[in-house]
Amino acid sequence: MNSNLRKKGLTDAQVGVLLILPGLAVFCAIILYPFVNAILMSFTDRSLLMPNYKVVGLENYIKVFSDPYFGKTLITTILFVIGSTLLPFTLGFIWAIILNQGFKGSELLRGITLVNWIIPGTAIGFLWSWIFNGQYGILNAILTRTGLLETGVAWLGQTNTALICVIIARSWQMLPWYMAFLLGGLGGVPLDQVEAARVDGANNLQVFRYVVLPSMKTIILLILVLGTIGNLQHFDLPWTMTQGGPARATTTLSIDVYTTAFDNWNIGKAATIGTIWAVLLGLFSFVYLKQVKDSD
Amino acid sequence: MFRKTAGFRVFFWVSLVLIGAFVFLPLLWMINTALKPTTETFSLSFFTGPKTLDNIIGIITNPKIMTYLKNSLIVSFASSAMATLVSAFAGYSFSKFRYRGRKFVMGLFMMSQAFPQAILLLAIYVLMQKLGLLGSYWALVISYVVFTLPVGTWTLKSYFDQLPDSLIESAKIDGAGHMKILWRIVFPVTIPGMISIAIYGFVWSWNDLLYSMTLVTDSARKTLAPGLVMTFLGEGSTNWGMMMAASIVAAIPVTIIFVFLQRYFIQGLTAGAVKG
Amino acid sequence: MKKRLVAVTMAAAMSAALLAGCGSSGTQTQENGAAETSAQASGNGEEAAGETAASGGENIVWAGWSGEEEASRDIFQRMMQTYRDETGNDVTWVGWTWADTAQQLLIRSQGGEQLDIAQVDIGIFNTVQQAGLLADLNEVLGEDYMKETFQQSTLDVGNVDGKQYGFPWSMASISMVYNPEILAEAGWEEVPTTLEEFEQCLADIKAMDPEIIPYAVSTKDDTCAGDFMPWLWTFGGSLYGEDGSVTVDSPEAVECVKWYQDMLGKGYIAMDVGRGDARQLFAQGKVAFYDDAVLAKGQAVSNGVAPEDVVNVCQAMLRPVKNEGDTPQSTMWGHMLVIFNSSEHKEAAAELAKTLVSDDVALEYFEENGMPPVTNSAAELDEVKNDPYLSTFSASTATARLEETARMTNASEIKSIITEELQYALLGQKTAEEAVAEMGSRMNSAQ
Repeated sequence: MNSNLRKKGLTDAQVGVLLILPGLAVFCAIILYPFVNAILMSFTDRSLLMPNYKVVGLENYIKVFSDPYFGKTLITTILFVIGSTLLPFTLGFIWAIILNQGFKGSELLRGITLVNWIIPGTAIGFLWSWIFNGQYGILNAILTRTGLLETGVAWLGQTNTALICVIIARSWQMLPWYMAFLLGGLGGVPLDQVEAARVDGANNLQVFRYVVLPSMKTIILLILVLGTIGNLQHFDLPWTMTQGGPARATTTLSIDVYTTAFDNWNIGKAATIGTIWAVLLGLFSFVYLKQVKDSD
Repeated sequence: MFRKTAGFRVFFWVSLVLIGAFVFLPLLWMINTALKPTTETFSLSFFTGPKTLDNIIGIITNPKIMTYLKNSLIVSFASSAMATLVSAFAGYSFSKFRYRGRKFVMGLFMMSQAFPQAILLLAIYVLMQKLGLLGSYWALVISYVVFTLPVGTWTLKSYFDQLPDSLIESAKIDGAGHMKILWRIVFPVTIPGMISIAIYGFVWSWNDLLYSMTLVTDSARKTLAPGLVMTFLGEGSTNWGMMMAASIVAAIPVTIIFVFLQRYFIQGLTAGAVKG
Repeated sequence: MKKRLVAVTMAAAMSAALLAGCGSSGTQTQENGAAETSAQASGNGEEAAGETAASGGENIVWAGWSGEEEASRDIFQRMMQTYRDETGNDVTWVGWTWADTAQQLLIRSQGGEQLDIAQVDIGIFNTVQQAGLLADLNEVLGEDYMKETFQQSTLDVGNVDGKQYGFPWSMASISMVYNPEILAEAGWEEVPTTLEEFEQCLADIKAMDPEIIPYAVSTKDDTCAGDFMPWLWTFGGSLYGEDGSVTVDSPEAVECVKWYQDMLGKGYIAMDVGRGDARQLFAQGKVAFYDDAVLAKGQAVSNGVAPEDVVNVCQAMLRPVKNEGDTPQSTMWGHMLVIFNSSEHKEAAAELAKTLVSDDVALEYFEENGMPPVTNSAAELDEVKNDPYLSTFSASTATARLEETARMTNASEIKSIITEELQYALLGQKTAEEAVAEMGSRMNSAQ
């Protein structure tokens, strides 16, 4: 079919357009249409309880911004996203460096490390709530038996520790993902440049700082951006571990949107939070891209 | 890459032990729990108490769980294959063709994850229903493709960027059509990249709970993530031993695939991006 | 220009083909509906036996969670088979988790999917009713049948403005359960009946074994607000007044929150405990008291207590009262069946409801899963009447109240407000007065 097309004289540009069409079609159906739909919904009082709704203008936006807890939700979201991006990134980087040393069994370790990533999120949530549980938790058992703690702590029941626990669980889940990308990146570090630096008398840290990091810059930026966006979307773990509590300590935007839509049935308001989120993300990407462009 | 100085040795061993413990101990605990009889589920014994294969056997012989597993494999394979192909087409187009609106569409694809999925779901539900796809594997496959699209397109684009234009030009002069060039010349050199995107897409579909729960009703077509939640996370009780056993049983086929493909996966994820 | 047009047309054709390709297989799915489902099921081994379509008759769609859960799946398949055998109709089912029921019902019915009959928890019944989805059962089954079959008090739970939207299926109260062995060890042969005794008992248990949580009241998730309400009533407070105005900001509520704070300070209750945790810990003998419905005993068994021992470690009791002579407070618990307004098979669906509450089926459900039967005739069966455990729940059912949020469409919003503010107070981030005041103002603005 296509060679016939070519004979009829399809230009390169047309072929190019044809090639993106499948992607574009799916994108329009699954993202663009629902996205535009949601933005429109944010100006209505759409509720899951009623088939009918009316336009209410900016009312939802006013409600969201005057909600005394919205600011707190934003801060929790930022803390969660930063923590659960940087922690697994750092650990995954170190782990990648270790496994990149190529010792006996390192290949197997790479393979097994990936297992964490494919265990269903709900099961991970339960596993970690069990570890952190105040009554029958494994962590408490270890800490009290070794004498580090006298009595158990309800790690998920306190506002100052709950978020950290969720971040740790999320890091456990995602560490393999960062490791995989970074291992690939380490494989691409030009060894001749490393040798050249050695000749100049560079030590390990200097090699890392001046050769390894710069040559991995693109990949590091890519995974940090993907990680950030993924964590912003992330829902499973805080939901199964704490339901956003205690006292809203782990309520991120993603949890907030979900409960607004499916506990309070308020689609209009949920769409509003979603729209605000998209705008914030847009600003973030804009600033980020500008930075990248400027530094190039 | 790094010299084995005393300092590096200390760093190596400390990190190996600490991160190793962080990564593997919870996993071992999971296996440990799966092997305990129900009465012992909450005992703190670590591979010491009584053992049973009841949970594991219970999962393997449970036709419903096996159906969920089969569905998950079908949906994940299909969506990851489709996503890889669609991303490859788009990535190739972005890399080697010039037309108006190209940059705009590239930016658009990146937006795929910019909005909370829970809200998108409502419109997707209605759309799938209008298309008559609700409850079919297609509903999930199509939805999942989009979530691999941004990473897939951008990673594969940087692969194609490395491919010299002269190669394509000379093939054209030899009279090869676009499709032939794509299948015979362009795609073969991109295989590691494609495999890595395929795995990425696979895991995304594998782990999804929300879409699967909503877009598929018939329990004969439910995938594993919602299936496990429905079966073991009851109104009253949670069957931890079974839940852990099921997670492990389900992880086995995928782990085997990973161990075989990890070399491609790890190189493929980044080779393009690093040099590109 | 012309070339571009060709390209665009081609593109459109291509994507149309793509969509049509998917579309046709999808349409097929819809058209074939039941047939496809059963065909699919027959591919799945054992399960197929239960789902094979009976020839002739109507095909209705059942929606709920019990058919999916490990604990009730088998009995559920037998129930459905009974229906098939008795009526010649077929039933296919769609499922989700207990927690997702309201969400899934709303999305699906707004989307126009065929649903005929569903099970709903009384906690979400009103949400579904308010969305206008339900049929009046007095019209479908006849008022006489309903009145003859059920007690007025159980019918009332599913009755809104004179219309009977809910068909009682399993109903009892959420009261308190306790472990007699722990109480005996702490020197309590009788259960405490007043708050004063209750606190003394908790203190004795704490002193006897600090590892035990004396009272595993819920301090997280949806169940936290559910447990708070009957205690608030015990202290004489309420969330809403007769006229529907918010009355939670009261000295009684402050007293109740302070009592919670005091119990936490003394280690009688614990943070990060939900109903699920309480059940597990109770089964391990690490909890003396907690709040639960009649299914508590079954939960203890599925959490590892031997079935023959369960009566020694799991008993039901009435909630302690503030002053002697007060009525012990408890909340209604239960599952109802509902039939959808849009259903074209209301009669066939009603037949299924009747099958599910028929004596034989209900008795089996009671004996295997501990679900209390609701019909007058089943309640008179010896097996049910002489069950001492059930009788405590039945006794408190008479005075049980619906959760105050049960008649509200945004029940879960209100409940999360209560839970959050109570948590603030328990974690010492707000005083009892502040928390209660904030509860009031947030509940007001949520109306």
